[in-house]
Amino acid sequence: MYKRKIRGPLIEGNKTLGQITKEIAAPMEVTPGLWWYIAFFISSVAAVFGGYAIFITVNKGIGTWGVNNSVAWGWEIVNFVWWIGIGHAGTAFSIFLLILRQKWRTSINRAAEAMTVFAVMSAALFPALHMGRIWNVFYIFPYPNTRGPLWVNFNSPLFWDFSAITAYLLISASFWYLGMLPDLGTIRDRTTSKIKKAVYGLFSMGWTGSSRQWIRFESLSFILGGIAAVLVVSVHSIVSTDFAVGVEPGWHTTIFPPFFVVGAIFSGFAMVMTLMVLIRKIYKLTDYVTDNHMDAIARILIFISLIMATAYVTELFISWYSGNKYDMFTMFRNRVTGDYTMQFWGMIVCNAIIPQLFWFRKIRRNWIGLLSISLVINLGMWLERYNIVITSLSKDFLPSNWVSYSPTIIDIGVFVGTIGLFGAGVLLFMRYIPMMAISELKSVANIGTKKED
Amino acid sequence: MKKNGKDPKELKSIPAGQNENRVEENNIQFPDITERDIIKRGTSRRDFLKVLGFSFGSAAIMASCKRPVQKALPYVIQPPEVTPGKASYYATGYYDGHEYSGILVKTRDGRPIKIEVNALSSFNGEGTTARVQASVLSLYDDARLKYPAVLNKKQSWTSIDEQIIGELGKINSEGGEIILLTSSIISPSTVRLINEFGAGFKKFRWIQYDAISYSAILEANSICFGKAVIPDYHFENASLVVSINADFLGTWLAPVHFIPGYASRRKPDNGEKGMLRHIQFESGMTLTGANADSRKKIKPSEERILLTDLYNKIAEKTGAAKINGLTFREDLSELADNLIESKGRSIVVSGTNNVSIQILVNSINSLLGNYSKCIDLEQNLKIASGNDRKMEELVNDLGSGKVKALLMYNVNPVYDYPDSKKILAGIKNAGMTVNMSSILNETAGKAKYECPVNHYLESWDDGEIIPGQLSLSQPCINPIFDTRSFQDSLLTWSGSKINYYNYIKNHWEKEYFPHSDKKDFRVFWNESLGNGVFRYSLLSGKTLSFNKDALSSISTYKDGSTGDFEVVISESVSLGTGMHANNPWLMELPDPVSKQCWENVAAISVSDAEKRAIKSGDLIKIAEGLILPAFIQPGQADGTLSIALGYGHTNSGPVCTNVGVNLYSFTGMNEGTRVYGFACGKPENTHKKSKLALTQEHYSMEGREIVRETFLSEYIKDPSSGNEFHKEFESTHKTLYPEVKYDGFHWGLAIDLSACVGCNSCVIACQAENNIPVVGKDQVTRRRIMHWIKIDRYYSEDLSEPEVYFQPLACQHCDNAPCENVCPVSATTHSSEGLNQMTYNRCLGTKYCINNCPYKVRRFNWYRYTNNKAFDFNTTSDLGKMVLNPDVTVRERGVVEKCSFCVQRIQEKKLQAKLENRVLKDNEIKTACMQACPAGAIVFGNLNDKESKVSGLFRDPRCYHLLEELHTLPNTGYLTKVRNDKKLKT
Amino acid sequence: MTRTFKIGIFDDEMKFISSIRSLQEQKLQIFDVFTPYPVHEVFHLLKRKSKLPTAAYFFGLFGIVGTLAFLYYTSVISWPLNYGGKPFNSFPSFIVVTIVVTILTVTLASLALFSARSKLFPGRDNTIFDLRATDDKFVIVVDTNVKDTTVGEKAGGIMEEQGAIEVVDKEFENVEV
Repeated sequence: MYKRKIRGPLIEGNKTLGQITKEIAAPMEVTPGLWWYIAFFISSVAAVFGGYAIFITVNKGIGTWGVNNSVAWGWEIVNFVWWIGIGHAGTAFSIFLLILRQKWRTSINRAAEAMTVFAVMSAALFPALHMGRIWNVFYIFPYPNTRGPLWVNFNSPLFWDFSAITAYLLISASFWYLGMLPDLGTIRDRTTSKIKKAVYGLFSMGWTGSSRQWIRFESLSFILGGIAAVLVVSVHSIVSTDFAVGVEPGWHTTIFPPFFVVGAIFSGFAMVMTLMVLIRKIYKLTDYVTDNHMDAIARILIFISLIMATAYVTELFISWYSGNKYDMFTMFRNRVTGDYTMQFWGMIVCNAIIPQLFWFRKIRRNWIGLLSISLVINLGMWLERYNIVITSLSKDFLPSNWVSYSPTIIDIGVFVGTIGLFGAGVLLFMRYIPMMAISELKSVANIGTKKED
Repeated sequence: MKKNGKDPKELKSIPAGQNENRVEENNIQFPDITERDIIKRGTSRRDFLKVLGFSFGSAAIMASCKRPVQKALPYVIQPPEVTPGKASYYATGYYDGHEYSGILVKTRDGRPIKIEVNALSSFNGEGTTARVQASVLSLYDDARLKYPAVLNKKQSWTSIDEQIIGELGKINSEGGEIILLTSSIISPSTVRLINEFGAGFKKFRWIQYDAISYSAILEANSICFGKAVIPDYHFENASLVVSINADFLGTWLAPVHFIPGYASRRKPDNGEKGMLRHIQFESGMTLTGANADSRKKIKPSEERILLTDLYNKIAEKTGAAKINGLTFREDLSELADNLIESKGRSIVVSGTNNVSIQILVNSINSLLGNYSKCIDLEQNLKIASGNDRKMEELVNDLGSGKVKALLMYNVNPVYDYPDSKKILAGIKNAGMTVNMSSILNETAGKAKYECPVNHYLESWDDGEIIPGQLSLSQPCINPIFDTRSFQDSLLTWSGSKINYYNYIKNHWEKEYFPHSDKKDFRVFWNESLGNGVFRYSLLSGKTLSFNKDALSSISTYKDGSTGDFEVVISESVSLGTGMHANNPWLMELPDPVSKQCWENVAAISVSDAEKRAIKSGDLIKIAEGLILPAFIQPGQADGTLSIALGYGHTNSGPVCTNVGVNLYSFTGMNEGTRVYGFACGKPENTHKKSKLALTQEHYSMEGREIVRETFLSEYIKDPSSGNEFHKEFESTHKTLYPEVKYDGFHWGLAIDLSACVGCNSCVIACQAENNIPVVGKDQVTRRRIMHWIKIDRYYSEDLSEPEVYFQPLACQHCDNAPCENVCPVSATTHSSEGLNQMTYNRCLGTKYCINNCPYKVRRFNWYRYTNNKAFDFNTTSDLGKMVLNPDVTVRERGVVEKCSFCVQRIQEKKLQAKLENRVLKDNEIKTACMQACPAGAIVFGNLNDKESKVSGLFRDPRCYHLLEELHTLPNTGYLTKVRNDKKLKT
Repeated sequence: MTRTFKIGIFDDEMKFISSIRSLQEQKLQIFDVFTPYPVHEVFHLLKRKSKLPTAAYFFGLFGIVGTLAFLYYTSVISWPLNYGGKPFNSFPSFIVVTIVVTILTVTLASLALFSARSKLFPGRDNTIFDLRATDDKFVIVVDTNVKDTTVGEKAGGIMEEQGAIEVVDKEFENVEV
């Protein structure tokens, strides 16, 4: 094992293996503070509001939304893309950093992956709700049927999208669960209560930590890591084809796949940061998620935000350079200027300008700074999706079809609902699942500490 | 083409619409398995089990799916003419007292479901208007008067007849005066009947009354030519048309009669001489003004000055006597020259109902010698015969109680007479009042006796719209309600035993049979009935001379421009007089120019709006009790407001009651004729807002090649001028995949933008044919109107005097359709005949196709529009559903729909040709829009057939495809709009 | 059937490893070792190998071929349809689905294989020789049920001198490998 001189230890305070187990398992063994119940209540209320909005949508029809004959995709698709973006962080973290052997990922990837799973769940809700006849949703599965058999249209980006999202949900979930096995075993062996023992015993699937299990465990996680890396890149590229394959001005552009992937990781890392700042504050886990960790994420965010800025400029440049009058109208008279100026410049400020504050070490090391900027980035990314989805549709080729779009309370309700769902999910995760990969922490416990020298 | 009609006794005895007078069609037989297998061969065990299994199966299916229970009453005796799934066509005539059309009625299983044009009727050429198209829905209007009533209590016809006969007899014996107040009547038989009816009384007066009055024209012509007629205008013979406030393409007299002639001369094909030139002076932007080559804005009060000045200019040059009067603010000598250049080939018309103005117009026309080819006094239009003076007289008599009995037929004075209180009091005054109307309106229920009459599709009638041009109307369905035709009522009350059908027959035998070459009357009758029309010439040959003293009789000019603003009250293209306002199709039909529906608005000029800080949608106070949403109308004359009639009903059914404001009460009388307009102060902004139901908000084409136009002179030089981009595209476009070849049929549709006047009749035709739901004002304001074909309207940049462009837009049926590629579930695919087809059952409603359609012609069922009380229109009421076309699926909530090129019509004709074992003829298949277009601007056919009309148009240098640079390869082609560039310089 | 095992428990990774070494020098068969986290030396010493990667590779092959074949069958043979003028076999737009489905196949298949081979599935309870193995202790287990009855003492002795914090004998019912 190699020594770190530049960076401090990955885990501070010379933890023994026993300590690590104790400290990480602690939140699951004590009853949570009042704040947890309050937070959970709020998220549940939000989720119920969302449930109501969904009921109205399904019961009355999509007409209850703000969409119309020209802007047929509204907030719901904006939110869908936004959530999927956030859902990228977890896998990005685990996979890329795993492949790059960035050991410091160990204290963050579990939370990140959990977040991924809940985010993708929230995301998957929107395309489903967006169907006019949700009760016929099974049409989208290419299974042998009595209607011909009539298969599906494999040329449709929406079908690519559907398969990509499904695969992504399954894979990220199983990757997450696989990583949890040893820790579930740990909890099972620690706990004294009969029920917990039974439950964790069930979910740890008889993990013993034998060398046979470990060797397979390791190789499997590398296999999954390897192929899921492809998936991280492909999923959001595919989401981007929903637009890039379309003819609409501002959609029909080849920059989208990379642009979307980077954007996704951007918003995802920002969300990870938000979460980690809170977790380490609340659960006093600063020894495991050290300032160095946050610093590293912040640096990554600066880098990505520069990429985003480049992408925005490129988009504008290409639309001008191509001389395509429809593109130019959308870009310069419907985004840079025009009805949607707010959204456009809001996006620029939130995604390209404010993150530059991370150049200052002080801000990188100040939890309020980290928290607020990470939230700003998420807002910015939402605005970006709004720009793409709605401005293009509202004023496209034939001026006779131009309309302005505004959401209804139901649109807002569904969005708030998913936020509630996400929140509740994360809270339950904090409560019942080790927030960090205990076994992995143990394996890196000594790195960069006195013991090594 | 059609077989003869049947004897009415038989007609009465069998279910409705069964006379075999229809287009011959393929005999599709539907084999009935259960019958063949079981009844014929007797029941074997296997059959029993089959049936058992079938019944269990079907029971299970029925139980499992959420279909509503359908109640159908089978025929007890199947009438021989009716084959399920086969349409029958009946020739008949449409006349509602205001508008005439010769039509075919398409009926399915005894239900009239569609109005089509009667090709044999020379009056309305190739199409009908939107209002005529929609009239079939009025038949199934739940708000119709359903039974006879006395003092609003239901009673049987027999008892009502007794009472009426009794009362009339009494009044007559006492020498009281009996008044018959009707709308204009063109039916010769009815006229004769009325006279006979009147002859039975000591004092009897018959007064015809029109909501939209043309009595000034009648009067002026009786002064000028000694003959009170409305001349017929032959735009096809004119080379210069000067129209002052006459919306002859939208509402004035008989648009459906004028458009074909006008459009035929707006096509550039026959060069410089060939193309009609059109100059319009008007206040509001009308459909006609929108089509004009030069359009000048005038205030209503300026019209008199304009005409006087124009007359003098022409008189000067032609050496006729001048008259004294002011000169117009602009120099008219150029216009005068132009008119003189085209002497005898020009038409000057005015839409103003003022005798002096009409006399001036007549004198100008006679100076120009237009009373030969272009304006025909002999073959005149009998469209309206109401006389305002007589009506006013009557109202006064009613007030004074001179009138003892008032019989009203097809009139609604309480709604459309200027002073409704006065008329109401009058009706109360008359001891004995009878109201005969088919629809619920404000007058209904005010009279003592309510004798509801049939809808025109339920009644026998005839008509003589132009002397010698006769039409026969026959019932296409038995009366739905307990109603009786007006004429039958008169016959009964005059104690005659004969019914109106025989009355017409006798009249025709006496009057018109002699003019025919047929030996036997039955043959003559059946043929006329089958054709729906009969023509004979009664040209006397003598031309009427213009009375020189006419001009001296015109009133001295008073400046009408008192007040700051002048309000122009006009018919709306959608609702007309407002008689059919309860028709949801018409209510939701956007105005062709303003693209606004579901209420009437006050159109205000751009600069006035700026000056007075008024925005579209602001409620403005125009006069006492007249608050309307403002609508900024480009091209509106400064200092004028234009407001449409036909709205603001108080009791005419759920759709139109309390929608908009009734402007009739703001019309008045002047010089013995009805004036549609008044002067008012500056409109005040009440600072309240209302959301307008607009179907198009943006006016500019943003410099894109959407409607391509050129000028006649350039067109003559180079036919492809204005369409250069098409050539460029054709020469440069590349394709990644090889283009798909379509052998056999390849359907295409061509739209000539030079011919299209934007009259909207295709929109309603499509709605009727394809079961398109009405969605209501709220949904329209959310931009969710369902029309499959819409007419886009663009303005040129200068909003004070804009050029107007119309472009019908439906699915373009692209061969490289972006929408098809993106549907995940294969719900929209391309047919082997080049159709872009929509599979409703398969549609999930992802709406991706809507987004990816660059033309945005796809529509989504945002809600369930059928059987949904929230959308209580014809697709929800059981009666209204009778109009649905059984050949077209009614779409479920959550599916996407769009124009299908009327695939049901294509299939029908293909099948017919197949059964007759022949090749499909060109022009045999007509889409609903093509079939309704009075201008003949739409042509459908097979692109693979090099002979077909449409493929010819596709080869035309004017032809281009919308957004062709996207390489969607549409099967819809547009022909460049060619404008006449001879403009008025001043 | 009950079997007795000699179990050595260490709290230090180094000592644990060295004792494995010396056990092997003495040709003593180690039944298995249990650690709180993967210790790579152990894999080398005990010659533990995994064939999962090879299997995954074949899953991948199967995925690609299977998917492409399916797409071709459905959209060219079974029910060809004209979508916006594209040829029935519009291969480029099949690639995306192929990639995704392949990835999914590999993941699910390898997961299944993993849980089968390492006997891990819900409700499964493998013999736990010492609870602390999943916490912070390293455990060596030696099977004493062999002809040579001295194996137990030998192993115990070695582990103790290598610094095991405790060495015990435990009996377990039907233990699987």
